[in-house]
Amino acid sequence: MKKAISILLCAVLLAGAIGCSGPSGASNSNAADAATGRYMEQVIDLPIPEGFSEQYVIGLAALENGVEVFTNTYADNKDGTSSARYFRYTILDDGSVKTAEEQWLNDLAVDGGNEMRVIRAKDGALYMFYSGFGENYQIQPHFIVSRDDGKTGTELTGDGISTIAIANSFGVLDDGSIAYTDYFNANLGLLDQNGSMVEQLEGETGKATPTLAASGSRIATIAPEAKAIRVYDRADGTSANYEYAIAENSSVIMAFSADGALYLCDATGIYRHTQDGTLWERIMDGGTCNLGLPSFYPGNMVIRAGSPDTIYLCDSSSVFRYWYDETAPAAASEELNIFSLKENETVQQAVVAFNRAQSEVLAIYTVAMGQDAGGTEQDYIKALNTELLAGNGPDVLILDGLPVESYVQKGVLAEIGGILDQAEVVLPNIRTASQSPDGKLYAMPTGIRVPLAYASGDPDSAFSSLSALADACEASGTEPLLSSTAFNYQMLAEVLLSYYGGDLYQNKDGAVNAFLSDIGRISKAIGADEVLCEGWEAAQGSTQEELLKVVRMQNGGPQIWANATNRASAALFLPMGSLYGGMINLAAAEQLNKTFCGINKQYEPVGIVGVNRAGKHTDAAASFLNTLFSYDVQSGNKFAEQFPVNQKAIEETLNRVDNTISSGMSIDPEITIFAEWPSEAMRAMLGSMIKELNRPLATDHTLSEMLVPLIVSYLDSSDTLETAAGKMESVISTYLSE
Amino acid sequence: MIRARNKRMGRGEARAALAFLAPSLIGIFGMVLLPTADVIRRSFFSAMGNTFVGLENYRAIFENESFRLAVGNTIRFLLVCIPLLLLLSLATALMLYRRKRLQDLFRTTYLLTLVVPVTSVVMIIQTVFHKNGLLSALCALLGSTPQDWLNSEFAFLVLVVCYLWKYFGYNVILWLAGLAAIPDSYYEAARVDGANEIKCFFYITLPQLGGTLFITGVLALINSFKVFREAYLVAGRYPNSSIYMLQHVLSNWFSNLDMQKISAAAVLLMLSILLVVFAAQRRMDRKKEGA
Repeated sequence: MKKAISILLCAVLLAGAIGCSGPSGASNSNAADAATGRYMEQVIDLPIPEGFSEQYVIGLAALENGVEVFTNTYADNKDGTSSARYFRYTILDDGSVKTAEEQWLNDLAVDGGNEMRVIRAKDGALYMFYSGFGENYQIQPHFIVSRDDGKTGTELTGDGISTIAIANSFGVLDDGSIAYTDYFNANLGLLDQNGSMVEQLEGETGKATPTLAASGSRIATIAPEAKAIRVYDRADGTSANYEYAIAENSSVIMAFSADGALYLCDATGIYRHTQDGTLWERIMDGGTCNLGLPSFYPGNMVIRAGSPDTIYLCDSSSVFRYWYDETAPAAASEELNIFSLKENETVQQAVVAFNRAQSEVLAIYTVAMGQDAGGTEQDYIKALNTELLAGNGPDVLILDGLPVESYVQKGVLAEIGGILDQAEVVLPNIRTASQSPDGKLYAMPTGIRVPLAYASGDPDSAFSSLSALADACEASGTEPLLSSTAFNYQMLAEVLLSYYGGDLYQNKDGAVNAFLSDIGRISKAIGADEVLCEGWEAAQGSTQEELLKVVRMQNGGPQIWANATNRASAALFLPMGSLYGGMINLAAAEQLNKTFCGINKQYEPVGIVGVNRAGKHTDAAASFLNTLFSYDVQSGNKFAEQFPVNQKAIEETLNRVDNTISSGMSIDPEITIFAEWPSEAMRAMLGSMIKELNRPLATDHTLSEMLVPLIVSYLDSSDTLETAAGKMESVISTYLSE
Repeated sequence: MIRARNKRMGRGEARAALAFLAPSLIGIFGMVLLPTADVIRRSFFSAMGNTFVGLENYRAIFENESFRLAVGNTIRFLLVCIPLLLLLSLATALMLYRRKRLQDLFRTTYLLTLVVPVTSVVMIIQTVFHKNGLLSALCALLGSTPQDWLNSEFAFLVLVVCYLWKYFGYNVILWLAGLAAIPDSYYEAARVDGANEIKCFFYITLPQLGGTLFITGVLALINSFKVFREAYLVAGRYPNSSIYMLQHVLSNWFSNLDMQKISAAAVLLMLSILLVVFAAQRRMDRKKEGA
């Protein structure tokens, strides 16, 4: 009996095991058969009417066979002013585009320009909300309606309109009432068809940016606590919660489809929730398309009914179409894993471009220390190392913060010189400077930042070395060379260690004593102390911790103030990554008659990329690197805080003129530094400087974090030079000997 | 015939024993022996484990300044902490022995230090010993200069105190268990022969506690390596050089993917601990044989 039971149990176990695993051949054939159909992204190019230079997408409306796009389009006039007109582009599936001026908006929204949004209600009426400015720059909200397809319009005048500041989303119900969210005043409300207030709705306005979708009798908005989407049905007074945790700082937009399904879009993707369903279905992964880009901010979404639906959405300048391609593989046959400790915008753009270009390989970008990260940097490095030791790990590594030299020495990284030979041309000086001593290229930055300084006369000699800088500071007389406003002990130690600490990192004899002696001379000559931004009016009201955070990101402000008020004659800036970010520094140099220079042809490498030698997809990794260094990706984000290394992209960056942006800095009632786009001469100077860069900054963040407090302890006289030097040498020698 | 049956039964028992032991054996083989063998293998290979380098890794770590510093600090810590811990806890156990009420109370309270989360301990250490912490405030109050205690030679003392505080109670309990195992008749007989307390201690208690000393000593040695958690959380990857321990260098090597160095150091550490334990065991065995 016992034997029989044992046999039976074994048979059941065996059957279970077989059942669980399934025949391998069958699973393969299933995978091969059922693997087509997925949503694809298409960027729709909008033409710009002749005579106009810039346009912003302000609304979308779905058609049966296309989409209508509403724009606010600008023309630069000869007298230096600009004028705006409104246009509607009717883009059909056959590719044809019809452009027409939007008369009702041209007539009624002449003072438009802020937070404009256009939607089409189910009855065909067009609605626009915008915020204009009245006297004393007070916000004046407007709701305009056109019921004859844009020929004429009327403005709503109900008492609810004036309570709105910026309606960042709104929708129209079947009964004509208008549901809106107010970004500025953080509330949700319902107006009747004349614009009179009907009621305030309950929703989350604190933890997430309020947003809504409205259709028929239903309104969807973010529920209190931002952990669900609440759908109100005005017809029967019911409400339902669709569970969805809104990520912090995430921009969410929603839209209903004709069949009542709710679509939601955020940086993680596009999701669909059927009217009677209980789950969100992700139909588009944000990491594989433009949605995942840090620079992407969705403005509007509409759903075109179909089987399955087509989704259109826009940001301020582009329109995107998400359509279901029945022939595309449902899942890519290969996955290319890209890893970085912290998010890099250029890499993110390359991932989107790579995924859009082909469907066989899916690039997956993993940011270890993303928003949900709970560990320390070391935790993630150790986890990565464990994978690498096991012969696995990501195919492509973004090496910022990782032990690059160690990886090169141990043969973790593959030689990528050959790959770059096939890619578009990168700056030869940066490529050469990135090579290992054996002449091979294992890691290459995707961007660079440039340390800059300016001074009167010949700044090159003053900033050529730390001792030269100390001499110049001591020789500067009554007007110090550098400003103690921007350089307290902490900032002096951080910046000078980064720019002039190369010998320390190599543990050269006497380097520590010389460094401390020079930095001590500089500190004394400029009158540095523990206090940051002393006397600078703009800093009043901020704590020293807050100021330190600000000055660590951008130290131009206090230095320009000091230069303009003759408190210092020169400035030493943190590395500059874009013309936008450095505009005010460059303008200050021109207005104050200063001459720019680099710091010993050094640059800060950003987004250093390498390929895992043990990676499983070397061809795909090579193809990804080609995309990463391509002109399209490198010039894709003009606001990125890193100069591209693609030769064509850097030339284009430095030749580009953007007159739409300007900034100013009021020093006192009589002095104002006004920054417009850098002059051609200034850009040419920067271009020639970039072409000569040949040394990456020898910064080691771990060692730097240990050395800075020791340098500060010498500067503030807590330690003598000998004591501080001894401590520093001990730390350096222990660290480097590891 | 009887012998044959016994033999069959013996085989059956052996099979059953093997079946019961199998899960543990598989676990130990997979989780301990196999990784240990891999570590030993890696200690003779390059970092990524693909080139045989002989004793090069051992030479490299002996020449490594940080490794030597870490080994020195670790040995200093062991030599200071273990004797201190054993003596203090034994003295306390002797005071508590035969005081049943106090024993019951202290048995519970002494073990509390083991269940206090490390993060709480670290917070307390930082609150007290930070540059702007309570101790510095007290110094300032007394007219002395505040110090960055955790970034000076004083950090070593902080770590020693932390270790003693944590494991003192646990060791007292172990000693009390050892003391309880000594038969009272030994003491009665000795007293009949005129032995005083001191003689009883040196001729009965101490020799009888030999087994407990071995266990307590080995546990103290093992626990002393765990103090790295506190050192790491208080002062990070690169603490003051006085508390830069063996685990610091191993942890930092792993961050730099220096697997070959970690393996060589681990093999040496394993051999050192085995040597100490075997030596102690042998000494114990000899004593037993002598007795």
